[in-house]
Amino acid sequence: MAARQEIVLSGARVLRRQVDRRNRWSDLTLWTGVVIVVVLVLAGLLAGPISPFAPNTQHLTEAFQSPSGTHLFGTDAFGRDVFSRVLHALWVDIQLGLVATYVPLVLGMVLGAVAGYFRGWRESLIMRLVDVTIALPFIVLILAIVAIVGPGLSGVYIGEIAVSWALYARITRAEMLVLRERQFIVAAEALGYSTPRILFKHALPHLVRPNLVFSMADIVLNILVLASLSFLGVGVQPPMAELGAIVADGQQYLLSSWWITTLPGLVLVILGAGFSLIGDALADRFGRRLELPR
Amino acid sequence: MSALEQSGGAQEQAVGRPEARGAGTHEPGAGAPALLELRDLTVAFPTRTGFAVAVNGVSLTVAPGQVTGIVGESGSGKTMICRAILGLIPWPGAIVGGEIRWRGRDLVGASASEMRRVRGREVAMIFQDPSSALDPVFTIGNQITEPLRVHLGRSRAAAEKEAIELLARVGIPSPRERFNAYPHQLSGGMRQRAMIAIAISCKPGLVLADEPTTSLDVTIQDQILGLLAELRDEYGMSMVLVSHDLGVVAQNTDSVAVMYSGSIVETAPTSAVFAATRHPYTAALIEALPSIHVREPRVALKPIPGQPPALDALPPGCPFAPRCRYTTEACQSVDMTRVAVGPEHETACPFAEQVMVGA
Amino acid sequence: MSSPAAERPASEPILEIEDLRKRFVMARSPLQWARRQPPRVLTAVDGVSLELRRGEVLGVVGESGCGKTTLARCVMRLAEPDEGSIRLDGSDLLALSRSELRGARKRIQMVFQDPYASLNPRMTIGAAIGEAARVHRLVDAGGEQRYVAELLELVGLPASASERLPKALSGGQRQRAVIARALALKPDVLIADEAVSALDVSIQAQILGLLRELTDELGLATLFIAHQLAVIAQISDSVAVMYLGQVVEQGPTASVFRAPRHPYTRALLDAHPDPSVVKRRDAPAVAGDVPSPLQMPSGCRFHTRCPYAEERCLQPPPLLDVGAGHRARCVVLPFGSDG
Repeated sequence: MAARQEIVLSGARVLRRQVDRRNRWSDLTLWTGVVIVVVLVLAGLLAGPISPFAPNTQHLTEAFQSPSGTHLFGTDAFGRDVFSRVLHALWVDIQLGLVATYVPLVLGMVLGAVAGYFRGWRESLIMRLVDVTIALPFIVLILAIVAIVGPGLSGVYIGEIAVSWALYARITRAEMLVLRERQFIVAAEALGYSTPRILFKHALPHLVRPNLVFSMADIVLNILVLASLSFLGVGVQPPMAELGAIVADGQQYLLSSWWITTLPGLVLVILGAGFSLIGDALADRFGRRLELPR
Repeated sequence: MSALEQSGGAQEQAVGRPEARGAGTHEPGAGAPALLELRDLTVAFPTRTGFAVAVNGVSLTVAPGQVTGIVGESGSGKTMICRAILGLIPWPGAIVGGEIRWRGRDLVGASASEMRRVRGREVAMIFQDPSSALDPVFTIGNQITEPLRVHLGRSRAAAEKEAIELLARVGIPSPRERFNAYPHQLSGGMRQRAMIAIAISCKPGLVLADEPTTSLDVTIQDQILGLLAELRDEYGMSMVLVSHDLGVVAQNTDSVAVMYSGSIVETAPTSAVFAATRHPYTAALIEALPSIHVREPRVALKPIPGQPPALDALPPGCPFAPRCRYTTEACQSVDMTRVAVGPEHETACPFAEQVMVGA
Repeated sequence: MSSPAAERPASEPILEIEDLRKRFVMARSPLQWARRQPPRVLTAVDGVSLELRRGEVLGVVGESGCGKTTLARCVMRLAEPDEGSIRLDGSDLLALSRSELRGARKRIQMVFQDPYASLNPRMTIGAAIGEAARVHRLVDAGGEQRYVAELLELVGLPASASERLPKALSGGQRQRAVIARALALKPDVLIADEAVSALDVSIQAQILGLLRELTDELGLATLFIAHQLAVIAQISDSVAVMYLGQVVEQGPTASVFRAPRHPYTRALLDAHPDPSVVKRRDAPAVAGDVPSPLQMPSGCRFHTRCPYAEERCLQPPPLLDVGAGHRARCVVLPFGSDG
């Protein structure tokens, strides 16, 4: 009996080592992402106090300086410190990323939950609206809205919210269709609970996860949309600092003063990577978490 | 070193054990060699805090042409035994000890290609839920011909002909038309018949039936069990019938092994187990069974108090001791090797004769 | 802890289901719609009448497709019946509006098959039971904890279970928790829909004992739905056997099980594997599959598989009295020779 225990123990150790290894990788992904995002968010938040120079002040005499001790990212065509601009730009981008993601998330979740739970005409109405919104190309729709409202950050905000909710509604409705058949929801109905109670207290907490995972990718997408629109000239208006706008401004000087475009571009990529890593790790954790039983 | 560590945890890698390489070593024994012999088989799953032992040193023999029943509740390890025999234990579990001797060859640590030869062709399995065990995107005809072509090398035409005969044999009406049907187009009983057809297609020597009728209605269950009995006689197959339903086991097996928390507590010819059981768990189980013979005034069932132990925290000695009405301190040092108490009747309770007076 | 209807004389039924019918209309494919083919109708419950009395367990047994689960849902009004009435204490439940219904829910409660699925995996047992009591205003904020503790004791769970999540409990314990939650509303009627089917034999016996005890002590009227005959035989005072939406036999349990008067009931009993009978019969109890409810056989629905079928079985047989409250929907067996 004791010998058998020994064999089982050693086998268990081998397997546990394997599982731990895989889980550690997933944890690493999560923490790397979190560190990146936290550092960049703090940088953006504290842009005011910590940036060495004012972002929009022009020093034409100091234009096109390569990165140095004073100007970490060098200066641009107008002598503005690129590093300071990047710090302020971070806050603009992150703010948009978060608002343009989580406001539609809440909106979409509620609509999707209603569609999935009640079915019938509510579902048809909401889902047709969703279909129309998703069918039109994202950027085109936002451009149209920006065209109506006028260029500038507010236009982008309105456009994003008007368009992004649809995917969350779709995800949530699908999850709700499955969830409402689960017995504890049926049991809640049988217990005579009111519909708002069933929806908000019992159903909604279970609907959050897939939306959350998707939202990570969405943040990245939304930031990129803003960057693209600013690049095209219909996002933020000069001289406002925004990563895409900075990249656009520096584009023409790519071969001579590479730092104006490249370094802010790198920051943008890292920011996106940070959110993506978090999303990846969350998907892992919520989904096929490589867990040992019990 | 366990087979597990030799193979680095992966079940698929070849492990060098001369006996496993095809040349079977037959155990010398009196009379016909056992078809399947489990010796001290142990299957464990590592958990976050330790390990859970699903099968705890199980030894069992299946003779040719016999039906051996394995009965137990959930967590007893009965399903895991079937999976262990075919090397299909789900990750992260593994066989961590013991032997599985199929016609004398040890299957533990056998190479992947060897196992593939055994699976489906020499040892076949019938699963509990035909809806999930049948592939929904292939016709049942396709799924029956597949083993015929893969294992027996039949041509498509020959396999199709044989498959239609098999469908007829298992009682599916209009077999020629049903050959092209998809699983969702069949009723539960028909699907189970289709699964039986797949299992017997290569005329295996042993069929492992893991709760084959649990998901079926009782009248259909009756038909399926009757079909299995006919096929067994006709094809001369041995069977291991796993079930939690004592009635099913009572009526369809030659011998029974009763399992509890990973150990076999009793083995006996079927009639002996129910008429004169020699283990407190079996007895308690029988007393807790509702019966269709209504008694007036109503007699309450005698439930077994408590619950089965967690498999990662098995008590020392006999796992049933905490719930047993005859339990004493001595039960904690019981090692679960069985002792004979009658012809082919063994029990893991060394005190059975003393405490269980009168049948 | 007596229920509000405890004053009612025991002989009168507290729940009367009369001629209940529930149909499902199958959606037509575009082609069928274009051809103006009428949609196919599946009658899941076809004219079922039952009575429940306080302190009694009525077992409803049948195989898949017989309509017993739909029946349970109709009684709970989780599905809306098309015809018939369900009278609780004299008043028809089907006549209630949605908001009145919520109040009526207190009086009929249900225990489902899968205890784990019936509990919100994120709520502790105490919270789940307490919520039920709170929503129906049976306790004030102060008394909730005490009420929950009382209920836990009633179903045989330790007080510590209140803080635990469903996943920390065993199957039997979860089912007790579900029963406690149902009882929190002080119902008159309890519907147990396959309440023990997912439990192991040794635990099943515990829960059956508990349900029987609760029925007797609280004066509940329990509708016990199951597909396992032995379980029904053990716990029910009277039983109704269903086949393809109809009740084919009903009566006191002892009478129905010892002397079944419908061929289907006989087949069910013959097919049941009895552990005390260590030998198979030669032929299966009944051949063939259950016919599709979309294409019901005419006349007696069982006649296609019935060994006693005759010419007159092509006419739908009525429910005939065979003595002492025992009725069977068959014109052949109850009066012919005892095959």
